[in-house]
Amino acid sequence: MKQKQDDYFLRIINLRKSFGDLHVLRGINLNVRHRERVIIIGPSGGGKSTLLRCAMGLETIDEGEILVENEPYIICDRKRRQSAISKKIQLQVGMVFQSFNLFPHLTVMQNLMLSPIKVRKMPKREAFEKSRSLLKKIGLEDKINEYPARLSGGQKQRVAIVRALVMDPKIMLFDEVTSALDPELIKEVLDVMKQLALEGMTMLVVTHEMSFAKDVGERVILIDEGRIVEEGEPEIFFSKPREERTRQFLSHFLET
Amino acid sequence: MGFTFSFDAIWNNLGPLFSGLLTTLQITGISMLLGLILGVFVAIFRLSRNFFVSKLTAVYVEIFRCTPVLVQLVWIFYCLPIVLGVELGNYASSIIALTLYVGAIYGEAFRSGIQGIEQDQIDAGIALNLSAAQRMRYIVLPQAVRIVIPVLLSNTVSLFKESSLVSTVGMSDLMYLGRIISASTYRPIEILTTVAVIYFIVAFPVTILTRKIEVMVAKKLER
Repeated sequence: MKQKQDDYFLRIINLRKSFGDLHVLRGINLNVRHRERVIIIGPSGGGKSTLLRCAMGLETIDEGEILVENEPYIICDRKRRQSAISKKIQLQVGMVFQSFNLFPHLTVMQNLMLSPIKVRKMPKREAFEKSRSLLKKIGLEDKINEYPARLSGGQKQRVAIVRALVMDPKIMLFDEVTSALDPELIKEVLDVMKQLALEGMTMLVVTHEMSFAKDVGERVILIDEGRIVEEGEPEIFFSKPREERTRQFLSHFLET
Repeated sequence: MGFTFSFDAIWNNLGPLFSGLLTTLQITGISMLLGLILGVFVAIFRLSRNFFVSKLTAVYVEIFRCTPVLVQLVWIFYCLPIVLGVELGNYASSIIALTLYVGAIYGEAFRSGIQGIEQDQIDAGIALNLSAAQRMRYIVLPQAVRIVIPVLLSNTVSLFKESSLVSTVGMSDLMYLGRIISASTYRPIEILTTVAVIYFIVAFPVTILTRKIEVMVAKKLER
């Protein structure tokens, strides 16, 4: 059955992005439904991270547009040769990075409270209580006053996820969030993400964790050389890929 | 020809030298505070995307970095009143000259600190919807300041020593009184050595502190 356009939460239309002569995204079209979990896989340098960075507004776009609930979120103003972003819609988007990017000069609690207080103008008390209850949920309530340097990689990444969640995003972008972690710390981060998925968060996840993709993903997408090579439901995508490129890419994971 | 070191010359003049030190510390302190404020703006303007703002700031920085402080002081004391038509007095001239000098130096330190902050930190700020000014205020500057504290302290030690030049426009600072007393007692070796020792006693602990802070900051900003 064909989806009605109105049902989509996020629509990326013909997105193009170059760095100089390097065409990183060559016309990406991607629709994400409310509460959908879309997993993006693909080789390094294929454009996965750039796609997420564009969707967060960290990179300008050269062509195309991104809509959220059919409202223009990021559009390309060709005349002025730059892209324009709706700050109001950007508030609905949260992002977690590979290298955590916690603010090292602030405690865990200060990391969490900064944006709610300064951007959302939330009263301090409310921001504190909200942050604390989220930290409690992931078992890090006792780290409230620690500086990031005192946390393990897994703990840092969980704090980073919570820091994005305090802002009440409607969609979360995860950019290889477990790639910088020691293997034994990966599970604790993936568990938080699974919990988030169960709670109905719309998620766009770039990852190399294929079992996570199978468990949590509702749709898997392979991006290579700036294009979507193949997309489909996880069971079919992993067992019967249509494209030769997909088979080739997935074979690396079966061997290991 | 024999020379006997006269401790009496030192003891008898410690009082005036001490009052000179207070003037020196006052001038250094005020110039430092004003210079720090100026320095933050210099760094931000220097990094501005606006070509003219950035270039104009660069011109100011280079003029004050690459010319002798003594000449800057003389310009401001003698020439500025002619140009502006206002009498400044030696105290105000001294503060203005040293502030403009150290503001340029601090500004370059802040700039290197700001540029030392990784793009990742700024990305995280954007992803949390902080505005450019908020990112500067809450993420970039606090980290940049921590990184450059050792540099700022060592610049301040230089400022403290350079402040001795205000004696040339008649400010009765430590150096001025030292020279006056040397001349009147005919004991320049004793008096000027004492002046040097006083400068050293103030400056040396700061340089030790600088090293300590350097280590502390490195630990604190580890991610």
